[in-house]
Amino acid sequence: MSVADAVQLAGVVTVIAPSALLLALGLPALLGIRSSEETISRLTQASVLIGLVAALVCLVHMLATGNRHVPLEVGDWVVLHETDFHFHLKFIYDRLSVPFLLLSYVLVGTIGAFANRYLHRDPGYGRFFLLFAVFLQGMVWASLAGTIETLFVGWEFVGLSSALLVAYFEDRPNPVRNGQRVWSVYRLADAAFLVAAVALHHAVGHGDFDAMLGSTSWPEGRSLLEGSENLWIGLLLLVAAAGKSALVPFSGWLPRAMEGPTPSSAVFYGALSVHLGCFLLLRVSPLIEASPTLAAAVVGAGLATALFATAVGSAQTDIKGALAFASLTQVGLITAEIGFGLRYVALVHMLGHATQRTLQLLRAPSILHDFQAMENAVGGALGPGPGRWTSRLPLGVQARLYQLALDRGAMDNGIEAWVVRPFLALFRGAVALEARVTARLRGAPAPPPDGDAGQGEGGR
Amino acid sequence: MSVSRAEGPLGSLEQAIEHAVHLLPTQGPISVFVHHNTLHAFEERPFERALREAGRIYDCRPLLEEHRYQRLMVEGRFGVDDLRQVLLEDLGEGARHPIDGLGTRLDIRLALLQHPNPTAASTELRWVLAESGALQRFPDGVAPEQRQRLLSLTRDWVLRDLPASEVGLGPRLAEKRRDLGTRFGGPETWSDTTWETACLEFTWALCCDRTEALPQADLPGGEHVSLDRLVAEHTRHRPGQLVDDFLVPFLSAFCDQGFAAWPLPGRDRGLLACFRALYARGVGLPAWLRGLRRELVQGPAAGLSAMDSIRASLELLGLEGHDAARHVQDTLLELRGFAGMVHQLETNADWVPHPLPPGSLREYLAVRLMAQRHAAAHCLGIGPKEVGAQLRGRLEALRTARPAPRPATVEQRASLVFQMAPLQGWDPGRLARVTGEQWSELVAELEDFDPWARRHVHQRAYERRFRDATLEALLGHRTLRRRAPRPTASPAAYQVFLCIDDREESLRRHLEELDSTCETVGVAGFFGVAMYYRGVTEAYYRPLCPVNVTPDHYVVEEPSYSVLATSASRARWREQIGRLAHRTHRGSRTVLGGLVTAVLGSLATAPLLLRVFLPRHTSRLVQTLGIIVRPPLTRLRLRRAAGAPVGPEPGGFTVEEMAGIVEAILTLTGKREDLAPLVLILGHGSSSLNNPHRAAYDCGACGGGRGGPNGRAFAEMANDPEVRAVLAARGLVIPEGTRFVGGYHNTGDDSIELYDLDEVPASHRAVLDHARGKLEVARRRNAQERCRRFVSAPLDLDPDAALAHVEGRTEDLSQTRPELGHATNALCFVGRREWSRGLFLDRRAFLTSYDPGQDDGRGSVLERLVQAVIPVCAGINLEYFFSYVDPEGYGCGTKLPHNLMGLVGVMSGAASDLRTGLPWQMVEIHEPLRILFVIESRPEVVEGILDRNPALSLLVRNGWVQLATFDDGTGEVRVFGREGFAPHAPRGAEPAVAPSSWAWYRGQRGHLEFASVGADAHAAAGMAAAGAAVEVQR
Repeated sequence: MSVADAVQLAGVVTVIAPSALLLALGLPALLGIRSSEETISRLTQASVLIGLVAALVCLVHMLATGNRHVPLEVGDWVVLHETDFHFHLKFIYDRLSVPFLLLSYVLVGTIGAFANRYLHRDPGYGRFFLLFAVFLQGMVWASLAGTIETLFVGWEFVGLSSALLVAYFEDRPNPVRNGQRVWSVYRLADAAFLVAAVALHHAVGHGDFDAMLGSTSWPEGRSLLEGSENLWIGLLLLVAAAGKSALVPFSGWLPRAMEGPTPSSAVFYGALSVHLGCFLLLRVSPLIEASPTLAAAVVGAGLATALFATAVGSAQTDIKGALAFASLTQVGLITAEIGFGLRYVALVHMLGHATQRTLQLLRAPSILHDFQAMENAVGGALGPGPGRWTSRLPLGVQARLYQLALDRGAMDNGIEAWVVRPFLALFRGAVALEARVTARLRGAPAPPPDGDAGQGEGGR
Repeated sequence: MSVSRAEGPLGSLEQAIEHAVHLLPTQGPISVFVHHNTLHAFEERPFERALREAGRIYDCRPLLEEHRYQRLMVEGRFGVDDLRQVLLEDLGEGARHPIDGLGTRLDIRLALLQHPNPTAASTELRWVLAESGALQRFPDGVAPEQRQRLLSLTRDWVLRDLPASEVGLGPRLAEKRRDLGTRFGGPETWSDTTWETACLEFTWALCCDRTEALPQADLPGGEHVSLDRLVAEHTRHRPGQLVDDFLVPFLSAFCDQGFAAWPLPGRDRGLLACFRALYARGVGLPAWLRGLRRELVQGPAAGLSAMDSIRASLELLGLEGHDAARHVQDTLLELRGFAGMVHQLETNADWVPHPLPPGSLREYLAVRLMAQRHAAAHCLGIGPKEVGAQLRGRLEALRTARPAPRPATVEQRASLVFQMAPLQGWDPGRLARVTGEQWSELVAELEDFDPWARRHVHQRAYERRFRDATLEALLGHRTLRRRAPRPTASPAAYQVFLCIDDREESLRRHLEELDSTCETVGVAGFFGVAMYYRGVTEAYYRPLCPVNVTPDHYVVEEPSYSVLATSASRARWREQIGRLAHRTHRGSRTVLGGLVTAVLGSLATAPLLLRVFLPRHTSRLVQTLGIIVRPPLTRLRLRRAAGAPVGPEPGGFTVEEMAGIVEAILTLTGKREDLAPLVLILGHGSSSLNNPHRAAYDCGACGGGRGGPNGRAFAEMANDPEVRAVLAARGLVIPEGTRFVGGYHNTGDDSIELYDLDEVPASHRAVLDHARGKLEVARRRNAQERCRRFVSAPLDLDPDAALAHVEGRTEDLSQTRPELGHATNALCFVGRREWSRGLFLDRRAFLTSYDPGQDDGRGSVLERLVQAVIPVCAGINLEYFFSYVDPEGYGCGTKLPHNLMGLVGVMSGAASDLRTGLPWQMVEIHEPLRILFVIESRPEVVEGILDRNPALSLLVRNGWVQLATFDDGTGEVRVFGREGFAPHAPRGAEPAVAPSSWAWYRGQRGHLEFASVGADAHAAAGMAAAGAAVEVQR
C-alpha cells in the first residue's frame, strides 16, 4: 500500500469511526436491547481513539509532505437530473479542518471518559452516549466538509443532539422548555443556512467550496462569487452562524442550554457547538474578505456580542450562567477577528478557548470550594472584581443597566415582541381569514375564533 | 396605625405569614450543610398524619409507592408474616371479625396488601373492563386449582341455584344472563373458557347490582385549589411559571454571597426598594409585566410598605381570613427553596458574609403577590390596565364554575370487590348469598383500607422485620458472648475515641477484630470542645460544634515558634497565589483578560487531560506542590489565662473550662476509671472534589465541619498537667502513664492523620507504633468493606487495592459518589461497647458509649447524652428517609445538572428553584427505615427522661423514631409502642456467625444480615454445634 493510499484510508477512517459508533450504539437501542455501561463506554473510547489516530496520521502526512489540501470524494448521493440538483459528499483535509477535527476528537474523548463516571448508574446513560455519538458524527462531518451540503448535514446532527441533550432531563418541565427554545433558534439558523446553500447552487451550480472559493488551500482562497451574490450569501451565512454561536441578537438561548448534565454543557456550550458558527465563517472567510460591508457586519456582530456578554455575564450569579456568557464573550471576539481577516489568530483563539472553557465547566461544581480556597489564601474577603466602573455611576443609571444585564438584555423579550408576536398574529389572522372564507363558501356561520389569544409566552 | 387594626386583620396576617414561614425548608447555605428532619415543622403531629399532611401541602410522595414495597417483599426485605403482625396490632380484636363467610378482616386486608386493587377514574375503569380482558380471563394471581374450583362453583350456581325467572335478580345480572345466552348459547354447552368469562361477567354484574343498593359513598371533602392551579386548569398556562422565570434571576442576585462580579446595586436598601429601583423603569420587560411597572410607579404599590402591599394584593383578590392565609401559604411555597433561603439569610446572619436585612421575606412575598396578579391576568387574557378591575371577578367566576367533587361511582366501588373476588376464591354464588348488611361492611372495609393505609402498613412491616432481625442478632450475640466470655481481666493497651457516626462502625469493628487489646469508644465527634476554629491556612473562624450550640471560645492554629519565619514567607506565597488565582478566575470571564487566557488556553489541555484520565496522580502532584506553601509545624493556641475575656483575642479555654470538657466526655462515655496508656481521639470529615454537597459528608456533630481540630484540642487538654490536677481534685484521676493523641479520620479516602506526635514521650513510642500499625491495616480493611457497596469497584479488591480505589474516588472530578455518606443508617446503640463488640452491623449503626453502671437512678448522664444523640441521629435518618422516598420533592434530585448559585445553594440546570435536601447519588442505596434506638437502660428511666424533655418526647411518642431498651444482664428487651414499653419476645434462633467481617461481606453487594463475627464468636458457635452433634449422637 502506498503512502497516499494509507493517508486516503486514514481519511476515510476519521469519517467512518463516528458513524460506526453511532450504528453500534443506535442499532441495539432501536431493537430494544440495553447495552451495559461498560460496553457503551468501551465502544465510545475505541471509536474516538481510532478516529483520533487516523486524524493524527492525516496531520503528520500534511506536515511531512507540505500538501495542505487533501480532498476525499464520496460522490453524489442524490441526483435529480431534471432540476440539475445533486447532493455531493466531499471531505477536505486542510489547515482549518484538521485542527478543528483534532480538537473535536480530543474533547469528545476526554468528556466521554469524564461522563462515563459522572453518569454512572443514571437511567439516561445510554441515551446520553447515543446523542454523544450523533454529536461526534456531526462535528466530524462539519469540520471536514468540502461542500456546503456536507457541512449542512454535520451542522444538523450537531443541532439535533445539542437540543436533545439540553432536554436530557425530560421529566422536568424546564429542560424540555429550554431544549425547545434552543431548537427553535437553531431552526432559524438552519433556515438561513439552507437558503444560502440553495442560493450558492443557483449561483455557481455547485455546493463545492472549491467552486465558491477556488481550489487553493485554506486560507488563500478568493471568492468567485459576484459582488451582490457574495454579500447576500455571506449575510445569510452570518445569520446561520449567529444562531449557532448565539451571537447578538440570538444570545438568549445560551444560558438556557445549561439544563443538561455538566459534561454535555461543557462540551457543547463551552467548547465545540458554540464555535461551530465561527468555524463556518472561517470556512467562507474569502467571502468576507471580498465584501467590506459583509466584513463590517461580521465585526459588528462580534463586538456587539462580546460587549453584551461581558456586561450580562458579570451580573450572573450562577456559575454555569456566568461561564456561558464568558464563552460568549470570547466567541464574539473570535467572530470579530474573523471579520478583521485575522484568520490564524481566530483559529488559535478558538482552539485555546475551547479547551480552557471545557476545563472550567467541568470544574463548575467546585466553585464554592475554589472561592473558599482563594479566600483562605488571601486571608479575607475577595471583594468585587478589580475597579468596577459601574459603581461610580449614579444609582439610578446603575439600576437601569443592571436590570438590563440581569434580564439578559431582554433579548428574548425583544424577539418575542418584535418577531414572534407579529409572526403569530399574521398567521392567526390568516387562519381566521381562511375559516371565514371557507365558512362563507359552505354557507355556514363563521366558527368562533381560537381562544388561545394573549398567551404568547406560555404557549410555546 | 390604630390599635384595633393591629389586633385585627394585621394580627391574623402576621400569623398567616408566620405559619407559612414555618413550612419553608430550613436548610441554610450549602457550605454549612446540617442534617435535619425535612418535616421538622410537622413533628408535633404523629408520623403518619404528618406525612399525609406534608405530602398534600408540598405535593410530595409521603411513602414509597405500593409496587416498590412489593418489590422489596420479592427481594426478601420483609414478608407476609410481618404484614400480618402489623395488621394484628392495628386491628386488635377486630382482626378475627368475619365477613359472612368471605373471610376475616385480617384475611381481606392481607389479600389487599399482596394484590393491591388500583382505583381508577370511572372512564379509565370502563376502558380497562372493556379492552383489557379483565372480564374474560382471571388475573395472574389465580392458581389453576383455584380456577377449576371457581369454574365448577359458578357452573353449579348458574345451573342449579340461579332462578329461571328474572324476579329477584338484579337488573345487571339479569341482563348479563340474557347477553351471555345470546353470545354463547345455553349454559349447559359452555366450555371452560366460556365459564371463565361467565364467572367474571356474573361477578361484575353482581358486584354492581349489590353496590347500587348501598347508600351513596361519602362526598370527598372540598379540596383547596390554589390560584395557580385554578388558572392553569382553565388556560393550561401556569402564572407561577411566568413569575418564577422572572423572579429567579432577581432573587439569585439578591441572595448572592459574592459570586457575581457586578453585585446588585443598592442591595442593602432591602428587597422591595431594590425591586422598585430596577423595575419601576424597567426596559424591555415582557408584555405581562407592563402592568406591574405601571403599578410600581403610580399605582397604590408605589410607596407602600411590604405589609401594606401584601394586604393590598390580598384585598384586590378579595381574599380574607382563612382564604388569605391559604393564599399566602401557597404563594410562599411556590418557590420554596428561595423563600426558605431568604428567610435563613435574614435570620442566621452569622452564616454568610452578606446577610439579608430582616423583613426580606415579607418584601419578597409582597413582590411575588404583585407579580402573580399580573401573570394571572395575562394568562386569563386580561389587559394590563384592567387587572385591578377584572381579575377578582374572573377568578371568582372560575372558582364557582369548577365542577363540584363527585362521590365514587357505583362501578368504582364495585370494582373494589370485583378485583378481590377471583383472587380470594369468591364465586358469584357466594357473593350472591352475602346479606346486604355484610355487603356494605365489605365495601366499607375495602374503601377504608385505601392505598395510603396500605402503604403505611407496608412501611411498618418493613421496619418491623428490620427491628426484629436487629434485636435477634443482638440477643444471639449475647448468647454467644456468654458461651465464650472474653477475658475481661486484660486491660486495653490503647483506646480509640471516635465519633458515633455510622461510618465509623466498620473502622471500629476492624480495629477490634485485628487487636483484642484495642478498645473503641463512641462519642459525639466534637468531643465536647465547642469552639470557633481557624486553621493556619484559613481566613475565617468557623464553628466546630453541633448547630444548636453557639460556642464562646475561639481557637486558632498557628505556626510553631521555630518555623515562624518560614511560615511567614509561605503565607506571602499563599497570598500571592490566591490573588493570582482570583484574578485569573475573574479575568478569564472578561474581554481583555479572556483574550490573554484564551490565547494561552491551549495550555489548559494538559490539566484537563490529566485531571480526567489520571485523577489520583494529578491530585498527588497538586498536594506535593501544596506543601510548599503550608507551614511545616503548627500548634493550637488553646490556653487562656483565668481572668482573660472570652473572645477571639486572646482566645482559648481556661484550665477550669478544659477540665470541665475532659470530665464531661470521660463521664458520658463511662471511662472515668479504666483509661489505657494510650488514648487516640479521632475526629472525622470527608474530602471530595467537584461536590457542592461536600459539607453534608462531614461530621454532623461539628455542624458539617471536620472534627480533626476538636480531637487535637481535646487531647491537648487531657494531657495538660494543670487540667489533670484540677480533675484529680474533683475525684477524676487520669493515670500518669496515660497519654492522649488527637487525630483525624477522612471517611472519604480513609486516611488517618495523628497530630502532635513529637510531643509523645519516648515511653509511649512502642504502643504508639503498635497502634499506628493496626490503624494502617484497619483503614485498608475499612476501605475494602466500603468498596463492596460501590458498583464501579470490583468485588474482588484486596485491602490495598480498595484503599487506592477510595483514594481515587475522592480525587476524581467526575465522581458523583465520592462516598455514600450516611446511606443505609437505621440504628443507634447507646450503651457499653461490650455487647456490640464483634457484632457486624454493616455500617448502619450509630454507636454511642454509655455505662449505665456509672449513672445515677434518674439517668442524669443518659439524659445529657440522648438530648444530643436522639435529635442529631433522627435528623440524619429522617433527612435520608425523605430524600429517598421522594428524591425530587424532598431531595434535590440528581447531581448531574446541579448549578451552584451565588455560593449559597444549587439549582437544577439553568434557572430553577434552589434545591434542598440530599441528592439522589447520596441516598441511592438507602433503606427508608425510621431509626431504631437501642438504649442500655431501664424503661422507667427512659420514660422519665422523655417526660422531662418535650422535644425528645415528640420524636419518640409521635413515632418519628423507634425506641427499645436493652438489659445486658438479663437479656431483656423492651420495645416502645403505643402503650409504652412492651417486652420483645425473642425467637431464640441460632445467630449467624462468621470468623471475620471479611468472611461475612466478601463478594456481597447488597444489604447484609447482622452477624457475630470474630474468632471468639466462631468458636462459641462451633462449641454449640459440636454440643448439638453430641446430643444427636446420644
